[in-house]
Amino acid sequence: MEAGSKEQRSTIEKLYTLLQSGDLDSFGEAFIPIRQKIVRLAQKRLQREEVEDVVQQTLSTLWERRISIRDPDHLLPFIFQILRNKLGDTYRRKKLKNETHVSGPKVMDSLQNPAVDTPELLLEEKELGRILRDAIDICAAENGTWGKVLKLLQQGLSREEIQKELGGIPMATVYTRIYRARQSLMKILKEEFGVEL
Amino acid sequence: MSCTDKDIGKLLGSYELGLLSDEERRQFENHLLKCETCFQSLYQGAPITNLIREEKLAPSQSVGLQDEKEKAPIRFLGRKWALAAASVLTVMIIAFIFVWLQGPGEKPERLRGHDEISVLVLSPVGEVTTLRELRWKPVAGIDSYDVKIYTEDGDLVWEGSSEDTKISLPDSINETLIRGQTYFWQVETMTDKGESMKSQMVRFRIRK
Repeated sequence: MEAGSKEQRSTIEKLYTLLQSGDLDSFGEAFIPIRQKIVRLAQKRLQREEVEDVVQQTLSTLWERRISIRDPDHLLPFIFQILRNKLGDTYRRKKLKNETHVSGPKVMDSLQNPAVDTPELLLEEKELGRILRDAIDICAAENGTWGKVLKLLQQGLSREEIQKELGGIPMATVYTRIYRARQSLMKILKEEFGVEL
Repeated sequence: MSCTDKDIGKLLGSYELGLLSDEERRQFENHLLKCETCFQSLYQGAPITNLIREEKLAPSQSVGLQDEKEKAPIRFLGRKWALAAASVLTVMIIAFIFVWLQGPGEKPERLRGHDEISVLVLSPVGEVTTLRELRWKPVAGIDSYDVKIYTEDGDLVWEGSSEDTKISLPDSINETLIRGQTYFWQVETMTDKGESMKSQMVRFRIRK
């Protein structure tokens, strides 16, 4: 795999640095590429006029809680979590108001079966954890290779340790196996447990 | 819709779990901002990734003796910290009673000066689709805020006042402001000492 330009600093690292420095103005500018993607995620789940509010709320919460992010690697998951929470809040508000009549087809699906879009609305985290463990077991039974990779990931092994456990295969192959194991797991979660994330 | 670069796209699972080298991570993140498929996939997989990450932190259900041994110091540490916290709390309560008994002259000020505080704006920041309201964080002891929107040249476009930490904008503002053009907004207030306190000037633009 070719290494990218070393001088090129990733947008996420830059965002993290700006968050830590408290430079909201520069952060707002640097956030634009991610913002556009978040808008598209929200558009799939909400009505057009609700999207802007949810995205702005996500950005506000991110800014307010920026001190709790200790690692650039946690930035995107943190943003996703905030977005999920904001989407969940919007669904709940709409449910309370019973505003189902204003929804488009995708939103209707989400309201009738929130698990389609926000599994945390229906599944408690413990329940999702139990399902995940069961799904990994099924994956292991169906395909030894993917199952083994998932178990190693579950144990928290480093990539070098995983490489060693997989017989010293090239690192690029380790990445590919992790990718395919992930795909397999998602498929099982969807088909066997109805968890469509 | 499919991944724009499948070779890099295959790093997704390893990226989620923090297994990539710094260079690979940067490479994937640059790809992530271009590839809608990978970004969507990352979002969708986040709850599962979080759980797997937690599994790494928490000992498995089928733990052996070694795992149990690892748990023990944590419990011990917890008790130790609880005792320390209880001691500190006791000292604080005694100190508080002592200060309180000194009389009104010794009471701490409820509000300190605002010298080190400024107004923290929340939204909008950067690019927005429509402009409906402006929001900022409350400042203790302040109950009225002035809000202003400026052009890049510093010309005042709109101003308003609010006793809340947000202000709704008239619908006409979306017609007044030119889409794609950069504007700035700022919150200003007056402290109880009559000093002016301002937020930083924050840039935004309404998407074309």
